Amino acid sequence: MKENNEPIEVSIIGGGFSGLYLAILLKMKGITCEIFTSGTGASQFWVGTVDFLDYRQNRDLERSFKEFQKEVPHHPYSFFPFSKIERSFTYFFSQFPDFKMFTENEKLINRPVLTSLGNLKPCIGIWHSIFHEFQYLTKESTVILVDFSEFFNDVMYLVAKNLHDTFACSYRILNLSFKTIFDLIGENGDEISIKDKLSEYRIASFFDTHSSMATISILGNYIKKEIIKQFPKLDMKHVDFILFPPILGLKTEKKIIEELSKLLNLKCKELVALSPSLISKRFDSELNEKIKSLDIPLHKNYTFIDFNKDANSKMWWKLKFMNKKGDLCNIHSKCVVFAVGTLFQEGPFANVEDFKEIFNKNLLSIPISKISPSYELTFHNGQGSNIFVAGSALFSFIESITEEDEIKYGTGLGLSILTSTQIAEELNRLK
Amino acid sequence: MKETKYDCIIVGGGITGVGIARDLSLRGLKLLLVEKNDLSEGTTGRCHAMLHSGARYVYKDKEAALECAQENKILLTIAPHITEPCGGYFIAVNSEDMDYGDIFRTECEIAGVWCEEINPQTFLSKEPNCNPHTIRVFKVNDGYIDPFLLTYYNAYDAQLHGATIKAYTKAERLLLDGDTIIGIECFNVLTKRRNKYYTDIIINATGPWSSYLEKDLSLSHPLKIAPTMGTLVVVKDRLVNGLINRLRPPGDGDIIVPSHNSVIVGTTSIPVEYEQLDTLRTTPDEIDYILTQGEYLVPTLKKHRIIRFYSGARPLIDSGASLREASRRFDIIDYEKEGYSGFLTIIGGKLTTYRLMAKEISDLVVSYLDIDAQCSTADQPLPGGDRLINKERFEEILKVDKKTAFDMQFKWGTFYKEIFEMCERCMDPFSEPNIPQKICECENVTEPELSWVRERLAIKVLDDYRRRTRQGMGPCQGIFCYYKLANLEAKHTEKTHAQIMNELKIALQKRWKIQYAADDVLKRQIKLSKYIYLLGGHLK
Repeated sequence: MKENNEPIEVSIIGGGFSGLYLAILLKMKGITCEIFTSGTGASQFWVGTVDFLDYRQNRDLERSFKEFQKEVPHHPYSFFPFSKIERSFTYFFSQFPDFKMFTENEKLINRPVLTSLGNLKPCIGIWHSIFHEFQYLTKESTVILVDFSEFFNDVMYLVAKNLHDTFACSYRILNLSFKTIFDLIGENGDEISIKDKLSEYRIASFFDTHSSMATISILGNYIKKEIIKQFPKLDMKHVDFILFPPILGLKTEKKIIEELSKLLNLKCKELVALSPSLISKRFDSELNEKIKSLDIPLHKNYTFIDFNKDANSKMWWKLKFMNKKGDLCNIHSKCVVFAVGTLFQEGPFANVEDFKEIFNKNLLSIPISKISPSYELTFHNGQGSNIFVAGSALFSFIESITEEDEIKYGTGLGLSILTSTQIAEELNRLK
Repeated sequence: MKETKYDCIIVGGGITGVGIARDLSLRGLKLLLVEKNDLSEGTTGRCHAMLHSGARYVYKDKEAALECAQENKILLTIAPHITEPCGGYFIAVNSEDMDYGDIFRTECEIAGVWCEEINPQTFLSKEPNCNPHTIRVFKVNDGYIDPFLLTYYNAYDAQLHGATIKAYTKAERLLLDGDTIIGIECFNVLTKRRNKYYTDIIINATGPWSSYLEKDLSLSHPLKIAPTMGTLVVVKDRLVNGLINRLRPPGDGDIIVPSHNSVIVGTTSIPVEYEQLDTLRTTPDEIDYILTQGEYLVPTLKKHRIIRFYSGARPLIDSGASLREASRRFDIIDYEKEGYSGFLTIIGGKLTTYRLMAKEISDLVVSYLDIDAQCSTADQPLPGGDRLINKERFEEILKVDKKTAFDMQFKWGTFYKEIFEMCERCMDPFSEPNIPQKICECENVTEPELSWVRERLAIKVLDDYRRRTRQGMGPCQGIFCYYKLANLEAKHTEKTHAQIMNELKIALQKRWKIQYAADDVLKRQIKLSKYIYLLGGHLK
């Protein structure tokens, strides 16, 4: 990318969930923006949940939230009225139908889902196919958990143990093999290497290209046969659910899971987070497709190095990036959003002192004791700087929020949604 | 409850304690060993993993140097599967070092420690990462030894010969009958139960913690221990093939030891108080100092990522001399002269000479008990150590890749057969015959190895796997394998989900506790780990 003469309206630094979602919101409001990303981030460890006050067991989120605001007034959540939180989330869910929102009497609620450790975590929404129907489990229930022998990331035994200990239902582990499945479908199973780390992507994408009804019925028959073989005495009447790791496709998993449910006459579901990288890949590719269809420029392998007031205009900022080849590049921009995550590690963010220095020389003291409700950084004289901070990056900018708070009160997609919504509205107002 | 009486009770499950346990049980004694944490979790597990040639001590302690040289040979014979005779070098990088070379050679000759001067160019062709300005080099017989497995194999052999080993059992107080020590009261930290055990003789092998048991006795000359803290830094990548020492009298930050896929750089010597022993704290300055010193040996050292650092306390007796000069030999204290019978303390020494220490105190014990039995530890190989099984054999039998085979070669020795059987057993019954699942990608630890240590090397809690297999010790520090390990624990044990979660949290906290002194990169890694387990996994 060449140096731009006309400044970009909004430059978003960071291509994680916050950055991408903000870009989509801005574009929909008719504000032009460009994304610069170094290509790594915590989004790839996302486990498929939309978190908000996940440390609370209380279902009455509105009351919980009011208590939270008093308890942690400097937390990025605390500037919102609850009605606005509901609105922001509802809008997000309306934009991404691949999510399921948890409500009760039209009110947002937290429901438990199983995590990668078999623990139960409250959240307000999940990726569509994920199992969350604990209310149907009884003492008589049997849950079948599918353990693929070649899938190394599974935690089925942990999940099974917690189901057993928490819901007193019985569970069975069904051992299946991808190699057998590939052979049955008529593809050479050995070719899809099971030794290297890429295998889970390869297996998942294999199902994307093999999702015809014929293939699904081969899969269904194999599962049926194995259930009879492995649990000869099991009365299928008592089987309520059959739970899979999220590996049956990256794009077609919805269809495969639905068709399998019909074929087996059982409720098939996926288990969250048995492989975060697979779940996050799905949402990431959906976001990226949306970015592409909205024609938002996304510059990959751009590492943020430095920024200064632009010499041409006191209102603008000049951003300095380095690309993969090591070439430096200046970008002029009216507004800047740092959506660099809390685990950022590129450029000046690799070192806390460098990070402070580049802001301080621009008369922006970092870290701040309190951020403004629009997440905009202010100059020493109190004036707005047109520099915003979105998502979990906020934790690195706000001094009074410790790492312990961050872990305790949670972050994740919920924080991305709320802060990006707020910043988008503020930029729309400034327009 | 039926009271069991032991011939001897050993307190302390470091290398000294288990070495004595093995020695005495091979001599036919019925004994008990208690350890407050896991075996090798104290000073033993925080050492340099160095099999000394003795060369490091020729200048100050010739007796200790010669002992090292002799024990080095014995250990290579009885434990070929956990030692690596990779050789070591003393290198001069300035004129001062250069001058010390002549003294070094003479001192080695007097002490009876082998060394040979080699051409710096020859050296640099073998160790290309070392200082290109190396001007003088001596080759010595230093090597690598796995301090953890050395401990577990000693303990395992003792158990095979009838010994009872109780980890997570804290010796709380001595039981006295007048002036005779007749037993010990212990507290099991896992079951929270107290028990009394009776014996004729108790050996206190608790290293820097040795004063603790003395509290029950009134002594005119209580032990004066001057523990010093030594910090070691683990740096990613195996930057050297052999051990690199600075050619000068022993000082700070002058050794680099290759260990599996990384190097261990150290060390320092800082006096600490008894109260600090369980919570030694490394400072960022100390780490920087070690690496700055280490850069004289390997100039690019600081460019490589720090994986971890740890501090151990040396069990030194205060003799009034400067701390680094304190003798590396050991002492046996018989409390008979204080009027108490049935109680001995052994303190000091080095990992390399543990066998000799065990022999000397065991000789004393058998004479005390009036038993005629000879030491056989110099000839009897440790379990799995009958012969070296080379990595090609592991590749062939266990169908693992080259890297995994290399790591297995320095762990299991002749137990490869049992691991192979385990491999067939731990496969899911309906899966196709398969390669063993790799659980820890950094240190190449597979499922059958974990199953094998569970059955043979007395696993109590999740964290115990790490010391026995190196699971979680690599660059990712367990981020991408602890959940898999927890899953295996759910699969293979009767533990409840809550129990496993609790153990997982404790195991992870041990990885996280160094955050306060970590550099930015390591801090972020720990944060990622917390994100994944506490937020993503909802571990509470």
